[in-house]
Amino acid sequence: MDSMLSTPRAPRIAEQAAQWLEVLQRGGAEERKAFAVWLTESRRHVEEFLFMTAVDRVLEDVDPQQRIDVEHLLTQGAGKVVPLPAERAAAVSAGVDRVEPAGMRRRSVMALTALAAGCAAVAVAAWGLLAGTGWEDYSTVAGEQRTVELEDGSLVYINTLSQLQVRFSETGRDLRLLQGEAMFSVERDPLRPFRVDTGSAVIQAVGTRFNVQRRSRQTTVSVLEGAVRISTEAQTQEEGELVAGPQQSVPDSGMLQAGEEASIVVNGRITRRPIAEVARVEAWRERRLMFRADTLQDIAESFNRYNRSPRIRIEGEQIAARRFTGVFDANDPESLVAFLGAYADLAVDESGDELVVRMK
Amino acid sequence: MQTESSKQTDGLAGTALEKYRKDLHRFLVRRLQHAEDAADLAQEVYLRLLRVENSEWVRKPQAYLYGVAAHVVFEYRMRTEKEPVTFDSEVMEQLAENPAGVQPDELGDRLGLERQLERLLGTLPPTHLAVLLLHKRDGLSYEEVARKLQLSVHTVQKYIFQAKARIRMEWQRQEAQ
Repeated sequence: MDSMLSTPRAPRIAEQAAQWLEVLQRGGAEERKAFAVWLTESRRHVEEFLFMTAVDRVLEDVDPQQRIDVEHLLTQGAGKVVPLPAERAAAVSAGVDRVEPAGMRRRSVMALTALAAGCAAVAVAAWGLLAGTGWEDYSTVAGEQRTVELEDGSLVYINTLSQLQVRFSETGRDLRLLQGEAMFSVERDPLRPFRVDTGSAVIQAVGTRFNVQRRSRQTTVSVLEGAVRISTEAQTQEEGELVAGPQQSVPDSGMLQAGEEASIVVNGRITRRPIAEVARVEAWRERRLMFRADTLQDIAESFNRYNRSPRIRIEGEQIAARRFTGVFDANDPESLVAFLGAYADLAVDESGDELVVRMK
Repeated sequence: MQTESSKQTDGLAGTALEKYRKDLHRFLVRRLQHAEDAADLAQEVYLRLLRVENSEWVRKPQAYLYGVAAHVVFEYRMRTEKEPVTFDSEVMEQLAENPAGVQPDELGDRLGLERQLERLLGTLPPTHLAVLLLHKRDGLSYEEVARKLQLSVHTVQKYIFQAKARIRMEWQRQEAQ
C-alpha cells in the first residue's frame, strides 16, 4: 500500500496521540469534539491513536518483577534528582542488594508509601465515598464460575462452590475466602494493600496474579506473577477487622515468588515448593479438571463440585484411595465414567441421580 | 492542554472503553509488527469514520472509534480464517456487550511481550524511563513524580508522551529489521 504509512515517521503524531489519550480521560464534550475533528484529519491520526492505545495497555503491565531500579536510573539521568539515601543504605545493610524481585518490590513499595503519604489526604477523600459499606458477598453455586471486577480494576475469578467477601477501605483492600477457590489479578495500589484472608493465613499482594484454594484442612496459594507475602499470625478477629499484620514482620511470614506454591495447614505451618505445572493451576478457569496421581475420592469430589447431577460416589475405601492421572471436562462426569470403564476391575452403575463406582 | 492530573474516568463509560481497549489491544499489539497490516486497518477505520453521519460519533468519538476498529478487526479475522464474512449490526452489539477480550491472557503472549517491552525500554533516555516507571508501574500521579524529580508537572507529562511515542516508533522499527 501507501509506502509512506509503513516507514518510520516523525514521532510527532504519536506524541499527539498519547496526549489525546490523556485528555480524553477527563475531558468533557468540548475535548471530545476536538478529538473527533483531529481523528478525521488524517488516517495517520487514526493509526497512531489506535496504536497508542495498544502501547498504553502494554505499559499497564510494565516491568512486573520490578527489575528496573528507578533510583539507579536517576543517578544516570540529569542532575535534578532527590535520591533516597536512607532507603538504599537500609536495603544494602539488610543484604537485599542483589537483584531479587521480592526485596526490590518491598523496598520500592515502602518508599512509595512514604512518598505518597503527603498526597494521601486527597486520595482518602476520594475513596471515602466508597468506604464503610461493610463486607460484600460473592458466592457461586455448584457448577457456577464468576468473574468479578472489583472497584479498583482488580479481577477475581471465582471457582465453583466458593464464597468470597470483599471490603475496600481507604487503607486496604480486604478479602476473605470463606470457602472454595479464586484467582486474583491485582491492580497496583501502593496505598491500599490487597489482602486475602483464608482463616489460616493472610496473603498480601501488590500488582500480581495468584490463585488461592481453601479446603477444609489446608489453603494452597500459587503465585503466577509477581509475589505475595503470606502471614499466618495476622488473622481475622472474631467478627471483623483484619489485624493490619502483614506489614509487621511475623515469624511465620513468607515471601512467595512467581512460580512458587505454598500450602498452609491449620496449625499455620507453611510448606513451599515450585509450581509443578502452571497449566494445572489455571485449568479450572477453563473448566478443565487435571489430575496427577490424585485419589479417586478427590477426583469424585472435584466433579461433584461442578455438577449437582449426576453425583459420583465411590464405594469402598480401597478403591477411593486409588490414584489416577487424567484431564477431564468438569461438566462431563460421563467422561470420567468412560475412563474408569477401561479398567477391567472397576464397574460403574447408574443409580438414580448417582454414578456409583465400585470393584467388580 | 490540561493542568490537573488526578485520574478520573467517568464511571460506566470508562469501563466500557476499558473493555474495548482490552479486546483491541491484543490484535493491535501484534499488528505493531506489521506496518502494512496496520496501515490497512487504519485506512479502513478512517474511511468508515468519514462516512459516519451520526451525532453519537461526535459525542463519544473514542468509544465510536474503538467500536469501528473492533468491527474491522473482527472482519479481518473472519477473512483470514477463510470463513464467510457476516456483516450485520448484531456483530457490533455483540462486541459491545461481550467484549471477548475476556479471554484469559495467553502466557506465552505475555512473556514475549514483556521481553520485547524490556528491550524497548532500554532505548529510552534514563530520565524518561524513570518518569514512565514511576507513573505507570509504581502508580505515582504526575504531581508526585514531579515533586520527586523536581521537575514541573508539564515536563513530566511531556516526558511521558515522548516516552510512549518513542516506544511505539522503536517497536515498529525493531520488528521491521
